[in-house]
Amino acid sequence: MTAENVTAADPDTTVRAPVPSERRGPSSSAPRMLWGLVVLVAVSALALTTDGFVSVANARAILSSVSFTGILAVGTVVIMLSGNLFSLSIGTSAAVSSMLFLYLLPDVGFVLAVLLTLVAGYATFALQGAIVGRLDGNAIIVTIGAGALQVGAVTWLLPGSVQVPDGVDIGFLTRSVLGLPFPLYVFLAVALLVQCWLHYSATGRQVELVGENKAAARAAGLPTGKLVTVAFAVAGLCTAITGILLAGFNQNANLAVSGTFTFDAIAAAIVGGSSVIGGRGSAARAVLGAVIIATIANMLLLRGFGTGVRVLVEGIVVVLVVVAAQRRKRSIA
Amino acid sequence: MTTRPGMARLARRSRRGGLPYVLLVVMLLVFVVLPVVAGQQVTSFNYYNLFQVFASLGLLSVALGLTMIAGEFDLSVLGTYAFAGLVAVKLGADDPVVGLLAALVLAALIGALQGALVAWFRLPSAAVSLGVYIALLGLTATISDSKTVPYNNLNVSDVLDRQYLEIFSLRSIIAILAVAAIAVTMTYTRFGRDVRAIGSDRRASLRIGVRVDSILVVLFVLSALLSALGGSMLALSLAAATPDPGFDPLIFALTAVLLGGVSLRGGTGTVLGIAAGILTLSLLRELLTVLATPTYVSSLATGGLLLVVAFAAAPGLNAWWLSMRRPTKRVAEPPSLSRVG
Amino acid sequence: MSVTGVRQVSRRTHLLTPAIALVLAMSACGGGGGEAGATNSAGSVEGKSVALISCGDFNRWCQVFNHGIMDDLRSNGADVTYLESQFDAAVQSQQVDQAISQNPDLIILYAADARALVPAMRRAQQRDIPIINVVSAPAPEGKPYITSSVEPGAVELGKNAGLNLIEGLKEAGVTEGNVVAVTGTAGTIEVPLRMQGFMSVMDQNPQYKVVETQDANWDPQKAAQISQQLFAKYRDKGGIQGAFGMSDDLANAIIQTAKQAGVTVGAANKGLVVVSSNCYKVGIDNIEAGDQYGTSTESPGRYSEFVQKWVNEYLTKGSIEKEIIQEEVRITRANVGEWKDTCSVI
Repeated sequence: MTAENVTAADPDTTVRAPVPSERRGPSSSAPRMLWGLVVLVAVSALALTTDGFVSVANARAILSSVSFTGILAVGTVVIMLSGNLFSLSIGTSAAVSSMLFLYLLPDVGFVLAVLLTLVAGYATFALQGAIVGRLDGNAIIVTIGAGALQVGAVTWLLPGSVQVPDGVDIGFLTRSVLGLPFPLYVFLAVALLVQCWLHYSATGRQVELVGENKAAARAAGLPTGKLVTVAFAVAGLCTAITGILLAGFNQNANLAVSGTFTFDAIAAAIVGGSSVIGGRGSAARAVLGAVIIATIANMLLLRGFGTGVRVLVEGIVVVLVVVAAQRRKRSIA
Repeated sequence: MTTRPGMARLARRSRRGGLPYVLLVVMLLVFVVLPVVAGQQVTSFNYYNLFQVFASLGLLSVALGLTMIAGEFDLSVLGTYAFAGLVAVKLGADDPVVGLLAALVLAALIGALQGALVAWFRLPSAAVSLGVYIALLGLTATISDSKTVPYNNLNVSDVLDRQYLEIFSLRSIIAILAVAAIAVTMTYTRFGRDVRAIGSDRRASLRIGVRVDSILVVLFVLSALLSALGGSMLALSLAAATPDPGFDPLIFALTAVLLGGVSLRGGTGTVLGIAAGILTLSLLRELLTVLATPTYVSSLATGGLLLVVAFAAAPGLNAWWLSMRRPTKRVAEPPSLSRVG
Repeated sequence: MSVTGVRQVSRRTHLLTPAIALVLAMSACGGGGGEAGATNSAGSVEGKSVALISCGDFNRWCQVFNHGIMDDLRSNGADVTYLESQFDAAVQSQQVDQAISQNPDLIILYAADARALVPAMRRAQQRDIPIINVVSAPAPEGKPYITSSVEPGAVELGKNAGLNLIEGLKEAGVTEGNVVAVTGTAGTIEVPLRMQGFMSVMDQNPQYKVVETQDANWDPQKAAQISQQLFAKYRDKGGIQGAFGMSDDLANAIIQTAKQAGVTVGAANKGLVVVSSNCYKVGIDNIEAGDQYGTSTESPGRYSEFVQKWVNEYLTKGSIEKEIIQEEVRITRANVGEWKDTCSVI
């Protein structure tokens, strides 16, 4: 029955991985707009009736709380765009970067510590990217494995908790500038840079092509292995940046600071509307997703709901967005 | 599309050699020998422990492995594992059997819902199941108020965990029977063949008339049931349900499944292989416990194993190896697609 | 680690073997301890076998606490088996069984989840193996199965935070105001005890109203998100004058977000008064800088010594009291110098 529906495309793409993206043609926008309108009205109604939600201070609070998750979400989106799902150890890596940064700080000074942490983040992720991209290793296995290795190595080699050395002030990493915290500016700058990289550089555009259709990209002579490696490496840079900012915020670093970052970052990336199997996504969408999740969490907090409900709603939103995004794709096709 | 790949061919691809069993035997030998060398003793109790792990994390592993054979990746089994434990403890206050059944029924519903989403909307299961996993954690946290829920009838725990024949318990016997039933189903029924066919080549399966959608739904239900069985028996055994089991159980499950010869691309692996993988990994963990090694060794071991498996299973490895031996370039197709560049 | 070893072999069958060998070699190196054997005579620590079942070295608090106990016991000639886990009740339950099968003279147990360890503790009691419970108070259902519980003064820690907060608020000239509490994992036994102590003080000072109690799960990032939103929420409702971050890193998260939100911090500046109850280096730094008003003496080093004392007492005398609770001291700017070394371990 369904046999006729299957197109005779290249055999390497599975049924689950259709490739259309918005760029491929005009969408039938009427039902989509209706949906958007309904959601918008519902959210506004909730927002207006939530005590203390509509205020400058609250908007600032929401924005301030998204920086760390947001940067990791940008990194996650880049991995998704390359067609390799996500890293299931990005939070761990951020904590490890944070520890490494503080560990290096007393010996090499601030600038070199930042650079070395970035290099380490870049290298750790590039290595994972190479296994995924060049050898077709699976991203889920590789990132979980790499996470466990990092936890093991760090517990073995570094002290369990690294302090800011006496006499060094890295407090500016977390201070307010013009009323907004410094990490927020870093987040927006990272998002902007990655957005530009994806859109205007040849490498960035090629990464997206690999994610859209790997077989086609390979057939077209693109260095798919290298591109996936680069995509992971960019995520590694994002992770290292988050780690450094976390060190500034916590004034100390240990593995526990990874908290719920991994799933929060993936959730933000998905809720922004990026597809986990590539073909659709951008840094701007990651920003959007992070802000949406933070806004919902904020609204629930103001309405007096506990942590459990906040997490429950986050999960439901992720599922709804995944379903909605797919319906849209089908209606285009 | 001139050739129609037959069911037999699709199913045949799924058999992977005896590697999981070889690993198990090697591990068993090490487990017997190494503690002696290190001056520690292995008792029958250690083997009992092995099957206790099989009854909790083992069931979770088979749950994860089932959907992986069909080429899906279901993170939510971890959520079901925690949720079922909570349900069993909450609703089983008077009668543990009622609690268990309630947990299984609710888990089946969750599995069916998720299977339907994945199958009928053609959603990537990693994304959907991530959402479901987060939602289930939120749900357990809400129901339990983020507190561990105690189960007051400690005798249930005694009955479940009392030793039989030195190395078994009621709990591990139930788990072994459940896994055996699934293994038989997957090996000898048309359902099992269909699942492997879907995992090997979904497009071809559709073409030869496999009812992909319904099979996926049933598969997700089975997977949820197994995970719920493990989670709820564990909660009754601990006489407490923890709202958040952490991420470690899933790491165990994934490693065990991969050691069992299943690949994330789907189509390969058997339930028996997964069982071997579970025992291998449990032996390793038991060994580390007997030797009282620091946890970082266990982390390094797990991480190392996962990466090695990722290497071993990577399709690119052969190509890469060949290209190293024959330094001629891989033939690249001329760029022919207009949308590139 | 195994990455380089893999390159030399080509057949898949051979890929896993070297990795496992490597892993096993490592585990063999890590394996310590000797043969267990119960020598149930009281009198000396020498030759006794002790199993320490606790959270693992990946956590700095646990590392300091556990190694303090092990070093002490080993230097006294006891034989210690160290079973770590990452706050996983299922694993711990097996570790207790593992320990039981070795028949030790004593199990020291920091239960990741006090309630989920009850059946395991019962099995230990059935085999006459004594358990000293540490860190978190035991679950009520578990009390019959333990020999003794040696705990930090959870209630007093909360009380100290309350007393510090009241003192700080008075110093800041606040006559009435809003107070928020950002806590560790609310589901544990310990956190509600601390809140009980804290509230016992706050209830006597109704001019300072505890308007919010939020669970941050000991996670500074959660604490930051929560406090950011609370500062916004109460901006038009009289603001927040006092905050209790249950550990110094939670308190630090509150301080950092307050500064980001433009809230003045520090009693001396007539600003937000922040107090805590676990002392870390960051808290000592914040107290010295005037950003944090006070904390309390819960620190892994100090508490580890307390446990060591009572474990030795038990091993030599054969019995100790059923419940032993450490005395906790308030730390403020006035006496911070005294406690700096103790608190700067983590």
